[in-house]
Amino acid sequence: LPGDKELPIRIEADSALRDENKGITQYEGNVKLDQGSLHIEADRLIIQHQADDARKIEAYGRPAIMRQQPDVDKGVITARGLTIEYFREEERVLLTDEASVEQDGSIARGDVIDYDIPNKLIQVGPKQGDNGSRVHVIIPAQTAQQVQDNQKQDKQAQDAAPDPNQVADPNAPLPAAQAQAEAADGATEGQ
Amino acid sequence: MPRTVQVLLVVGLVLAANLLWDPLAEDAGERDSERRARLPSVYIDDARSLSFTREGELADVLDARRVEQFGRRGYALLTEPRFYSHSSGSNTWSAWAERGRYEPASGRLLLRRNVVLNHDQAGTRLETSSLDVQLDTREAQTERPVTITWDDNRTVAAGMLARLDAETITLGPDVESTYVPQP
Repeated sequence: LPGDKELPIRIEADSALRDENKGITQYEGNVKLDQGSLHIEADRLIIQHQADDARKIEAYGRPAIMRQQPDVDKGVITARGLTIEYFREEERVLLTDEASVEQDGSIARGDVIDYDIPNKLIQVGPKQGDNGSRVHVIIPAQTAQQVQDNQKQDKQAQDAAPDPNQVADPNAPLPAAQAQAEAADGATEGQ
Repeated sequence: MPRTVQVLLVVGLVLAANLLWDPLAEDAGERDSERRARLPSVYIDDARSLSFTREGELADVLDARRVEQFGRRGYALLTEPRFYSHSSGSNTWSAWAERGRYEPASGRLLLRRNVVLNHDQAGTRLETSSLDVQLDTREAQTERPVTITWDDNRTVAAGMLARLDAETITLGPDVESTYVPQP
């Protein structure tokens, strides 16, 4: 949810290694991370805490799983990958190896998925230099129908919408430019 | 009374007297040496001990408000010990507690009661009830619950091993952390 970023991050694990020099903590074994609606489950998780707050979170698993509800009225997004990198400030998730993102039945799979949460943009592609792998996107029929219906509704709404130049209330004073034009028309008709 | 019986009687008396007398003497002596062993051989107030690396660099500093040295038993009891350790880099750790015990032979410093270990540069503070510092390997270990705090963040665990030179802390089991985002 939009407010997740401000909430505390809670992590549980079997063990952890904290490196004071590098400013990172590596959690291992049954790792669970929670921050509001954001949940990550992994075998290993690394947090950078050099600059007081956890800027970047790296999760490794078979696969590592990340779930988050992007908005109150939106379905939960489930992201999977052998590696998940979560850039907190940019609210961006980079999934690598056996990557997939799923929401309301729609699935995108590929080697690398770059997911921009605020702008709701998902970029799926092969790893750099590896053009052999394919991208798979599955949108269930029902969802495709919904997309078409929404487009139809949008179009109808546009058609029905009044011309922004017309005045809704006939008694309301005409905008100056339009009043002059109509006066000029009247004069020429009278001649 | 036949002569042999007389001789036997005298020998028996001597033996009995010996038995009776020695334990008493020995008891007193033993109690005295025991008491002396229980008492410290040396008292030192506001003590400071410095240790250096082979290259002559300052490695550790051990202060205590009071040191009670038990020479025969090979340890010293410390009141309010404070321990400063230089890691391999230029960073330092500092530790203090209410009580401590220093064992020169095994190179151990045992800190007890309200123990705090600080990584001075990172500002990381570790609190526990008991911490064993192995001075030769420069490791500090506990199997008691430990709480780590830095800024508003916090981690708890059921045990810890700090490698002072490497400046790492291994925590576990049952690790729980809370990171509070900065505004």
